[in-house]
Amino acid sequence: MKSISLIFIFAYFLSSCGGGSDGPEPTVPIDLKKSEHLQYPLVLEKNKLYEIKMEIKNCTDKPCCSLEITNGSDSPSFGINYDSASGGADNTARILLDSPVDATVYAKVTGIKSCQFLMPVLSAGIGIEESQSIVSAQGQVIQGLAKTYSSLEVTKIADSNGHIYLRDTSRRGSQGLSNEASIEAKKFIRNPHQYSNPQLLGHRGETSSALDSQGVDAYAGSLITFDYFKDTFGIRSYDNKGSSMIALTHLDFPIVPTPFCGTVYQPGTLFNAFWNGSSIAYTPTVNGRKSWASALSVTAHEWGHAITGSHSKLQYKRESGALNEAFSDWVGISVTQNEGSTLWTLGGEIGAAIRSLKEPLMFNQPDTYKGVNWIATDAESCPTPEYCMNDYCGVHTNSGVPNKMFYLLADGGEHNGVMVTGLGIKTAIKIAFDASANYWTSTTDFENAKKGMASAAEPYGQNAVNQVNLAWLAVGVE
Amino acid sequence: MKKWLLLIGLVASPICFTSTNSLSSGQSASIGTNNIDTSMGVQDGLFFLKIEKKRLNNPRKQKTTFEQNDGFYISRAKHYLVQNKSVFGVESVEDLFLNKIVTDQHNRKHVRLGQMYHGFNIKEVEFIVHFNQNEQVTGVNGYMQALPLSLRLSVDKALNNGETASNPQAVLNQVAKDLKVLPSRIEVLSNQPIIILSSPYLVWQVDVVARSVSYNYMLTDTSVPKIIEKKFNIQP
Repeated sequence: MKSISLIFIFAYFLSSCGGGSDGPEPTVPIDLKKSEHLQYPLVLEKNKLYEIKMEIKNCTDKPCCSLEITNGSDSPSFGINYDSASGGADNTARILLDSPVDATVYAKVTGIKSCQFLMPVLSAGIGIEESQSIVSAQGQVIQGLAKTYSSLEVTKIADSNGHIYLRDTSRRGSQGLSNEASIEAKKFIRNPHQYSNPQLLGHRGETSSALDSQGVDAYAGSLITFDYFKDTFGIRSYDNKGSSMIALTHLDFPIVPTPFCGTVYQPGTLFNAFWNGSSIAYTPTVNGRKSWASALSVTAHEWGHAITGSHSKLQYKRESGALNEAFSDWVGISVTQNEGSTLWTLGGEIGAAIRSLKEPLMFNQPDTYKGVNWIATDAESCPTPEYCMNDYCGVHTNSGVPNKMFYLLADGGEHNGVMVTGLGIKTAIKIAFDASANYWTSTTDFENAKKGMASAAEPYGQNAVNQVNLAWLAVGVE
Repeated sequence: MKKWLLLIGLVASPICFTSTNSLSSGQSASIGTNNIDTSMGVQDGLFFLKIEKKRLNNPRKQKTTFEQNDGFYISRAKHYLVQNKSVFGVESVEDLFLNKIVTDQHNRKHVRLGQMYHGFNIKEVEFIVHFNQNEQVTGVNGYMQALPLSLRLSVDKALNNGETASNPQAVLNQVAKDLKVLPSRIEVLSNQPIIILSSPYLVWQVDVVARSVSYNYMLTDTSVPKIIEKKFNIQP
């Protein structure tokens, strides 16, 4: 046991001793020194939502205290929606939590430095229906206009101080609060004193107008993407297992000083969005560049990586990596066009296009296999696929070839003397998804991607199979 | 059988392949292993398969919980590959394990199978066996490569009675040490010993998320694991 730790387990349950919304709130401040902590048992009822909040006193150099939910040890409590918080502008740490089962967990208060707080208070548990609210919320200002989501579904604990949380409670179907298909935006908060211990805070606000605009964009985009996956692909979340879709905003990337291409980049100096294997993440707005969270095509692109990671698991290098990137672009454009866009560019809807499925050459990508702009992927030309030096042997460049193929398959046209009759983007993306889910493996290259798509197209008729073959032929994949 | 014979010449080197062959009516095969006696075949367009289990398969990698749901298709897929081992290079159903079974929107089944040796997954090797609505195999695709004898010998030599020198916790501890975080603060996506065809070693492959960024590690299978490779595993 660490000598600096001080652990008290309070032998009473907050929910039965004044922690509920109708009981008296504790008013005696409790002091903790740096690294000391206290734990308070919380009794949760199955399939109910709670808010735990803790007022922090006399904190001038935030953060002073942290609040998190644990299973009583150092580990997060698995199965319980886990979160942590430190006092925000109102000096109150808040966490929304639910449980798929009747359970006892612990509210753990830790002194980040000298910490004075009032005992955490657990709200009364409420059911799904009571927690659901529809609000109008604003995302980032793009090209002079605030992006407005007029009917954003959010969670609200209906007590007198109820906050709005960017977290969905309506897409869990008949399984109730089973911790499945939870959709949520969280904010990455660096611990200024220790790189290794950042926090993730659920986005919340006292009113919808107080919500963080990057969080609103990330959350709204993920909701739209979830619904698209369900309606178009027939899957529940990206893995068809109802896994939570968590979008992290304000991620300072790199997290710690990190060497890239011989330069050590300080934390938060790189701008991007990515899939990290369990959630999507956006770096914050920086130097006038809006967070990619505002671009639905980018959000859906990142969730496209999640589909790939759960199905074909295409390796992120060489041709399979370019196919991985292209599939995400197809998903990004398909979701965005389903919302009314007519663009074929990633990021184009916010005036920051980075790739075009229609005209890859405009963005220095090849539109023909091994043609202009092609980056050689063979082991001799690119012996070591790597993030910095060669983009894993050109995954973001060579994706132009399958991107052009997808455009032709969806919209039709002539390319390299081959005429393709478009099937429509909805049929094209369904075929692509079926291929990714059921015919592609981690090592699929362009040639086998074509074969897999042709097999996936069979239920759509011989013409669909023919057009798949023609579209790939048009970009030089025979 | 003629169609299969045409494919035999393709498997001498690493390949990706797609075939759209089905067993023809009347074709059948009997397969006996140490653990399972089976007979299988096609009669009047209907595929039949009889399995008599003598004892449990290797418990290390067999995902028996999956097989309880779709065992019919999984067994059929495994035996199909073994029956055509001259094409696919699989000697025994025990060398195959289920990655996933999917019923698509058109009610077709797709069985993803990985291959292992001594119970250890072989990286990148995966077969997908496709079935139509009539429960017939309509094709197989994926990636396979015969496990070289030298690699088998090397792995055999490295193992102590079939067991690894290290264990998941020791491996995770090394990763945590490298990342400078507590092991409990790491989200482990996967952590397992694997065989890499291009390398004559058993290695530990670990995918983790720490501080919201994902990493891929390769470590030696030694009592004190050593990091061979560390990569960012983010996909922008």
